[in-house]
Amino acid sequence: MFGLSVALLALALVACAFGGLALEAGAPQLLAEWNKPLTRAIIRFTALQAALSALLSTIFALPLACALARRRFFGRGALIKLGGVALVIPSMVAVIGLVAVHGRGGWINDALAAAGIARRDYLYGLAGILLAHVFFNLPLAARIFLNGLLALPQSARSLAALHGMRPRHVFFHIEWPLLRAMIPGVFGMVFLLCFTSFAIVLTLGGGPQSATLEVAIYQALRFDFDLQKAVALSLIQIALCLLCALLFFAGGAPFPLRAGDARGAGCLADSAAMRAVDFAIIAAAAVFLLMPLAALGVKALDPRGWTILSEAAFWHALRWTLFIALAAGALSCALALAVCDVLVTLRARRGSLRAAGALAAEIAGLVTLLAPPITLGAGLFLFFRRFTDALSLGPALVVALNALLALAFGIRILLPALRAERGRADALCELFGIGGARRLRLLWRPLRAPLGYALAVAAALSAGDMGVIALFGTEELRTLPLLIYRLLGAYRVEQAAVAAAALCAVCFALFWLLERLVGGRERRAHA
Amino acid sequence: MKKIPLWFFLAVFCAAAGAARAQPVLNVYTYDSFASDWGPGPRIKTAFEAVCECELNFVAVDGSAGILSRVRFEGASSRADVVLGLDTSLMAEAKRGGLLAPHDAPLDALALPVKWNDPVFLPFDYGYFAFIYDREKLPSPPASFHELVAADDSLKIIIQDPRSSTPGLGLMLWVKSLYGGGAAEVWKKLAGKITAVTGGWSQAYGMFLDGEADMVLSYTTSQAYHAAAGDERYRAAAFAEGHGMQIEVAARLKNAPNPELARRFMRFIVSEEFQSAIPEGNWMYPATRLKGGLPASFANVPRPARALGMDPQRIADNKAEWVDEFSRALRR
Repeated sequence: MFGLSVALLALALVACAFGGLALEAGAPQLLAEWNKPLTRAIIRFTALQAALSALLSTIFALPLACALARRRFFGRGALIKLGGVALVIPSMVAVIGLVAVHGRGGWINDALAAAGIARRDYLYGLAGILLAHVFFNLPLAARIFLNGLLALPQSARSLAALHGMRPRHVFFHIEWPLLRAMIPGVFGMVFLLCFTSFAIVLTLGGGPQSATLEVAIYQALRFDFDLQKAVALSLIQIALCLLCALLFFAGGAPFPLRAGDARGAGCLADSAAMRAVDFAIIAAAAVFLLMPLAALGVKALDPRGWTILSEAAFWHALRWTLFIALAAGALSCALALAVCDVLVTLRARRGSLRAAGALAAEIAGLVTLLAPPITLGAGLFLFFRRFTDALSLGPALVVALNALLALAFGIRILLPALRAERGRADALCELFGIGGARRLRLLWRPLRAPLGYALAVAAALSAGDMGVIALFGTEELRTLPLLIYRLLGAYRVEQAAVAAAALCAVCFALFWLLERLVGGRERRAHA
Repeated sequence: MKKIPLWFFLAVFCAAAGAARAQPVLNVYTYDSFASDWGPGPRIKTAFEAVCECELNFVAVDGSAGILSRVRFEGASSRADVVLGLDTSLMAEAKRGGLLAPHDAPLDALALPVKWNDPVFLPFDYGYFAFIYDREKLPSPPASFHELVAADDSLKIIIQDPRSSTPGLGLMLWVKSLYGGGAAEVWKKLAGKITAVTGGWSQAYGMFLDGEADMVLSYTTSQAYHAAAGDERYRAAAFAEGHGMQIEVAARLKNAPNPELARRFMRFIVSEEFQSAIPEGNWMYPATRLKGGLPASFANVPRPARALGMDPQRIADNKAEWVDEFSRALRR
């Protein structure tokens, strides 16, 4: 079967990666590495920053989601939409925006200085990591809570109104139980995303004092070329991630991702004070999230940075970015579709093969969320290095790895839709004897919207990737995120800001175009 | 949009094919400030290409200490002919892999503070690590390493990561040779003063010039860079205990795609054309005696009271442990 073979191909790639590392490294010195005080310190810091990031994101997301669910105002749709794409903002773009706002020479310190207060450094180190992680995950968490709140049937609210429940009671008796049930899943998802965070920690961590496991793996590979250490650290990271995933998601897989807009539900028995509080919360969140992007825009207007536009390296990087985004996006969607198809088919069948196949497909989707991209990349490179000139395989490896990394998102987006539609389509086909291309066309219409969304997410994520390209980047193979990192390394801050603005525009344009072109107009109906 | 990969591959292929037909390309892996437009790279490239009938391609690797692990990672598929930018503290470790070949260059022109007879590594410049400060902002800088360590935490410094950058490694060894077993304590005292530990020199120096800290780890000769621009504000702080010395070296790779060209480049390194680009390009002391002597901008650069160094073998044997000690001491 096609679907199963594609899913197996994904698994084979992952197996090659680990095979490559194992062959080079020999028996990993797991225990020795685990027992090192420095490793312990790194693990502690990794867990600490992930827990704090998840805690802050969840705590701020709850009131924000409630406020957004209750209020309708001009720009609400745009704000929610922006929250939906925050996920695909490249980390290097966020880093530059955050430095422009929170750095020593940033907006906040400028304001402090104007008010006669001494400038302070708070960006590099734990505070900077937390700022960046909340910047990325607050919108994501708020969006999931908001979806949950809006899924409440309107009748529940009407009934509450009928019984004269005050907003306080509505919150405690209806909304809070619903939100509380979602908290472990949201917290766990943000925790895992931050546990494996790479580019943020690399650029804002401020040095060895705040290295995470992912950064330590990169440094073991890139600085020390210590494969045994890299493999040992990777295995430790995967084991810890798996443990956390089991802990957080024991109650069920985390919520499907959805595209599109969500209307406000309105508020019962409103009061001026509540309105003020809600809008204050929304305004604070909007300022926190939009300011870095605005600051980046302002920085990009500095003519000193424009010289980058006349450099061949910039256009070279732009072309590679587009190519990798489109190729990885398409491959990722094909993989996700195949894996979902396997999952749906196997769920419909009986027998012991079903369990094994479903498990394999689930693992293929999951492993890419848990295995460090740096490790997968290094493993694949070392594997192919044995047979061929692996450097010239660089582009293919970067595309394949990015496709694998976006797979977890693709599956989350496509699985619910495919599950709902395939049964219906199969029944119709059987009834009328429809087969081949016409069967595909029957599936295409309802799947178009989620496919467009999955492709948009995968392409934009791949365009902004830093984890894979950090390892494979060369003079020839250089994407915009890597160019920005190197410009920062050479302290060409103005040029880096212009390149970051360009990358941000590329990501948004890719996202918008692909969702619209592939997803079609019916997008909204399925949101 | 779907057509982009196709024509792009065609373009890359044509460019590659065209380049291959025209001239051999000598790839030199180095650190970014050496290869950059304002570094010595472009001048050296022009001078070498005038005599070699080849194209000299500087490949900037992130961090000077990462150059060799980059080559190791690429393995047999590496296109590197020459690595340029390691230093004496990495030599013993670098020799272990058996990746390097003898440089075959004459050593009689060398004018280093120490005698040099290594057959594999060829020195191309040298200098002394130092903290640079702005004397208008910091009128009385620490006069010794001891004073720096004892200074109040409001004195902010920026240093580089010893795993990725040779100045960062140099500072770690500087502390080690001054304090030995007490190095961890010294790092704990320094931790509160460190604004950032950057991956490479360029970022640290840029942050310092932007006012992000009072002092930055660099070289005594960085003062000459500012003096050449007519700026007397930036000075190297002279420390009474002496300064760590760095000799930067280049080496030829055993698996170089162009071994003959690489050999020629090694001989070129000790020539007047290469060396004359060093003082006011890389802002270091040249490895040979220049015909015109040192530029005027170097006149006021302080010569350290004592040059500190360490046996490369001892460094190779202990580096991993010392880096662990350093990393742990900075985690408060």
